[in-house]
Amino acid sequence: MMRLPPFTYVAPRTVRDAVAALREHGADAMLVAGGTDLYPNMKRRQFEPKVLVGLGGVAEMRGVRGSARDGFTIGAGTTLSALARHPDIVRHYPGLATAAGLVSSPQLRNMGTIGGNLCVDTRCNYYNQSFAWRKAIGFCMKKDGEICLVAPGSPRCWAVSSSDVAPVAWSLGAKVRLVGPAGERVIPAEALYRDDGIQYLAKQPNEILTALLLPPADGRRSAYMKLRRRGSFDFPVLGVAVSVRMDGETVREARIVLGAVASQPREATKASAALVGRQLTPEAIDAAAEAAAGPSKPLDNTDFTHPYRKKMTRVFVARALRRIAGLPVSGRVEEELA
Amino acid sequence: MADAVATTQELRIVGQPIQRHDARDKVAAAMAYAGDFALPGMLHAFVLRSPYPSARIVKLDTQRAAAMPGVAVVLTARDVPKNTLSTDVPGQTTTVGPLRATLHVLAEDRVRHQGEPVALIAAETLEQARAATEAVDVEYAPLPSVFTTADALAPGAPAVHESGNLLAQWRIARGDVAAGFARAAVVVEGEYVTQFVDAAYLEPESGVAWIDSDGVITIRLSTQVIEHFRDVAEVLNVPQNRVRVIGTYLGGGFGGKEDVTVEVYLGLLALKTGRPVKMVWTRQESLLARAKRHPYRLKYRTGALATGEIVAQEIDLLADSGAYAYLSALVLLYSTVTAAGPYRAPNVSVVARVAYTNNPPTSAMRGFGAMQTVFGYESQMDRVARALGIDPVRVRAVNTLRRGDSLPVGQVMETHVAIPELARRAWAALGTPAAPRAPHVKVGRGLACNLQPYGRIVWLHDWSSAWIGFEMDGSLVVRCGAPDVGGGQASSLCQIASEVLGVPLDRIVVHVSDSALTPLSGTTTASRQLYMSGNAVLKAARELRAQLLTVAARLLDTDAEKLEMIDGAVHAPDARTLSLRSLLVECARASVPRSHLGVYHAPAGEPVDLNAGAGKVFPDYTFGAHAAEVEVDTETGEVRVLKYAAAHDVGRAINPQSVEGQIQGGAVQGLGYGLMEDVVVEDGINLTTSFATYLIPTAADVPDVEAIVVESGEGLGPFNARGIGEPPIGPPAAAVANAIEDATGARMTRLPITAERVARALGLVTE
Ligand SMILES: Cc1cc2nc3c(=O)[nH]c(=O)nc-3n(C[C@H](O)[C@H](O)[C@H](O)COP(=O)(O)OP(=O)(O)OC[C@H]3O[C@@H](n4cnc5c(N)ncnc54)[C@H](O)[C@@H]3O)c2cc1C
Ligand code: SF4
Repeated sequence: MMRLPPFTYVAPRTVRDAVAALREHGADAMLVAGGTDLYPNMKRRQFEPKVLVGLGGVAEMRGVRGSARDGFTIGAGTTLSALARHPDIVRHYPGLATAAGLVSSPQLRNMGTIGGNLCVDTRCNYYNQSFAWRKAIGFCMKKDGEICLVAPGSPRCWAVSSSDVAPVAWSLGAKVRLVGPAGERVIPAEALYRDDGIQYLAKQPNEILTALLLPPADGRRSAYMKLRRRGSFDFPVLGVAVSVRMDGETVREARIVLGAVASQPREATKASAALVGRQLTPEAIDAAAEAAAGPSKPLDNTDFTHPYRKKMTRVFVARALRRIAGLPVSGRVEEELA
Repeated sequence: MADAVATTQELRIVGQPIQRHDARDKVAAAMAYAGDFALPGMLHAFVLRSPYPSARIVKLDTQRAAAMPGVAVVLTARDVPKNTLSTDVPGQTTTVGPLRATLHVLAEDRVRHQGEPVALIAAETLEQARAATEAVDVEYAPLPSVFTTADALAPGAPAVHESGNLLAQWRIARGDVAAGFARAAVVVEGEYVTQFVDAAYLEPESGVAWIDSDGVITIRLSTQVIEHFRDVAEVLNVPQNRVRVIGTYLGGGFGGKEDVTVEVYLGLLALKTGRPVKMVWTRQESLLARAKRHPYRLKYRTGALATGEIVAQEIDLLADSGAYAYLSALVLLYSTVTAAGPYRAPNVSVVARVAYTNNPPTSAMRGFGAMQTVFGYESQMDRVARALGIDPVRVRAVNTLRRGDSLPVGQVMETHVAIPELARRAWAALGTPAAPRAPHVKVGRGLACNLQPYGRIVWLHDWSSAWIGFEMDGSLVVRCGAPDVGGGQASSLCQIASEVLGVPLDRIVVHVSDSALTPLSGTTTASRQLYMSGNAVLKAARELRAQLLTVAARLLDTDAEKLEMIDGAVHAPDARTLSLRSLLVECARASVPRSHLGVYHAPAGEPVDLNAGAGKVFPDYTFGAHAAEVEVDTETGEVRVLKYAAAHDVGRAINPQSVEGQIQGGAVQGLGYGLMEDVVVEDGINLTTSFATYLIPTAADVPDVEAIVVESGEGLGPFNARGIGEPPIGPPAAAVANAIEDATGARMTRLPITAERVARALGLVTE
């Protein structure tokens, strides 16, 4: 059994106290919510915080509030299980409910939070290994080392954004609320991410993500499709989030965002543009799918090879759009219910 | 046949689907596994392993580590009394012929695979042991290395061992292969590739050792082979009777606990420190260091007449032994013998080789070389049927070995080969085909049959022993060395004793797996334990019964043959009964022992000469047929098994519940092998050292497995049972591959059959 390194656990009851705790302990501290990502990483010594500020006791960060007309505020501490089952979310933001319900396994969804999922660490075959393994192979720049083992000459890390919810939040035009020592700010979900495997979040380490803010439902349709090897457990090898707003039969606004293709979610802007002003016919869908580029870099540092994932991008974008259009779909992706 | 024991009488307990005594304990988490034991003053041990697949150790300095807080001892090769371990004579075996596989307990001047043990540390806490491991100062200088069998056998390849990279080879030639091909109406050629897989048991390698008050080094661990006490003694250079191994109920073995795991390390550390010591491998360590299943490259050329009758087989097998021999030569022998399947092969040639590389070592795993070949011969069989337009059930029936036929190795089939019936029943169990869910989803069916030896190679002269005795209150004790790996081994022994002695199951206690206190029974491997120890218990019970009934006959003034033992009493034909208690008292008075030791010797033979037509290799075989219905998403390549039926002739089901468990578990493990399990090794570095990357099936990935239990009454085990531990893992990969071709026309030849591979076979991805 791999064991957690020793640390001090601080359990604030309010966001304010949590911010204060982060300020007090500075670079030694990290936030933990469900711990389903952080604790395994700590066991592998990918993170070695001396202090953990636990968000589990912060009641104001839990729960879903709002309405379809005005939009919803989802507390960052809401569990993925609760989100996946929430009737309003299932009804008005089906893509979000699906994504939350497809994360890992039922047990992990009962512990894992939406906030933790939006901030989940990036992944790479050479990084998601035990300390001894990484030491053996000489470490890489994401932790303890100097070079990138996947692309040795590269000045940056290419670890892959692997959150199921992040691309959905982006595609919905959702925002996140960040609270830090300097106060509170609200930024678009896409502004939370950076295209870097190490510094993959644009927020400050001492900022707490307190809520995910969903825009008004307002004729919005959404879907999420996930490629993975097994029917449970596995991180996405590819995630496709689509969100569309209609004007009658015509697409007024469309956003297609891909997960697990780069160090941050990536918007397939050409594909989205190909839909606007058109009806969701099979032809329009195929054209959009064709325009959705696959993973940007041919790096094989997760599962499956680059050409296959590229090919699947097309298939999954088409399927997600077909779902939205009410056309028959038949992936096995949606079968595991939350 | 030696002293196999059969019966025709009506059975009361044997054949009942009885809930095993260990089942409830396991689901209620009441079972104590090896890692659950602790002793006062116990140290914790950790192994320092090589990070490199091939390197010279230029410096190994333990001074700093030894001075770390809490460290009791740091051992390297120099500290091991005898640093060489033989790895090919497990269990009851005393000789294996010329092959002698050895390895160093701790690396001396060189490491040959990633994860090879280099030093051994014991400290007051696990954290301290780990910290000290990191403080050992080792310097390595990389050595030339080789990572594929083809490279390993190429001229001028870096030698993994001084003896050269070809570890072993077996050849069989029978009939006239060229003439066979000349007669053939169709010739099918195929090359198949299988991967490294891991046993992936729930319970990693673990144990605790201490020096008992009698001075005996006692090791309680999770093992399939308590006879490794001898290997421990040899390494420690102490007499064999100074080492005792106690085996716990296992959380899975699958061959991964057939070779030594923690016992030698624990013995060394207990001896050096005089203190109790515990070692539990982490999952990462287990996935990294434990021997894997051999990857194979299998080339087949098969010729058949228009009737489907196979008239020529040319087979070439090449296996990867990794860095050490372990049981590779024997695994390869299993492949050689089973290479043509349960079918007639009048003209056949088999060339089988196994080579050293700097990959992780490979050794025993459920199926033991008779599994990889199923993917070869059953893929070929299906292609023959398809080429000739013959139904898959029929083509197998046409070719099935009959009693009196012989395998390519020259062994005559002395038993009923139920393949046609099994194939028919498995196929029929699929029922009406599912309709495809969408236009791009195709549905298809596949069949695969197999044969798997049970019991050990006849020239290993296998035997097992068991002791049975009554307490004065009429309760019964069974003692037998057999480790219970989770297949219900212990519970089946109780059922057999209960049947013969008429003692209710709740009045029987069984002690297993203790090299000091239970009679030795050999390994729980090779699907041999029910066969061997079941027979030993049966023999002990029958002989004890005869002993007691002589006394009972005198008391009841009748013939012993007319008496029956049922429900704790002796019954005479005229309805008079004698309680067991009174009988036992009488036995004591009459100086008749109320216990008995039974020893069962398997049919033995001499080593065969493969060049001279060979002969008998295994005592007997178990046959099976599996049928799968799959759907293939032709846009993504994803395969989903919709229905699965697995039929085996088990001779007789001692406990049908346990038999079904073995069939279902084996089929699921075989589906994992076929569809997803893969130890990814890149230039000798194992990339899959956690369950996030080493993928095994979840409940969401497998269908219900319908187990079809056929009882021909033809086995060599107790009540004519056959072994069923390994056989069900064989057919799934081939059954699924055959179903995929049925659905899509694409032939999958490389395992695991991932979505991407199917997509490529379907031409969806060409880059
Ligand atoms: C076997 C396994 C399978 C998994 N499969 C998937 C999968 O399929 N898809 C997927 O998306 N994820 C998967 N995960 C990762 C993880 O379980 C989920 O992403 C989960 O939602 C993380 O939430 P958490 O609350 O447990 O986060 P934690 O582990 O508590 O935190 C994760 C990170 O976010 C930070 N953080 C947490 N909350 C906040 C906050 N409010 N503000 C700022 N920073 C915060 C933490 O400091 C940490 O860096 C898997 C994990 C495991 C172990
Ligand atoms: S992409 Fe390179 S630097 Fe980043 S985790 Fe992987 S190997 Fe390390």
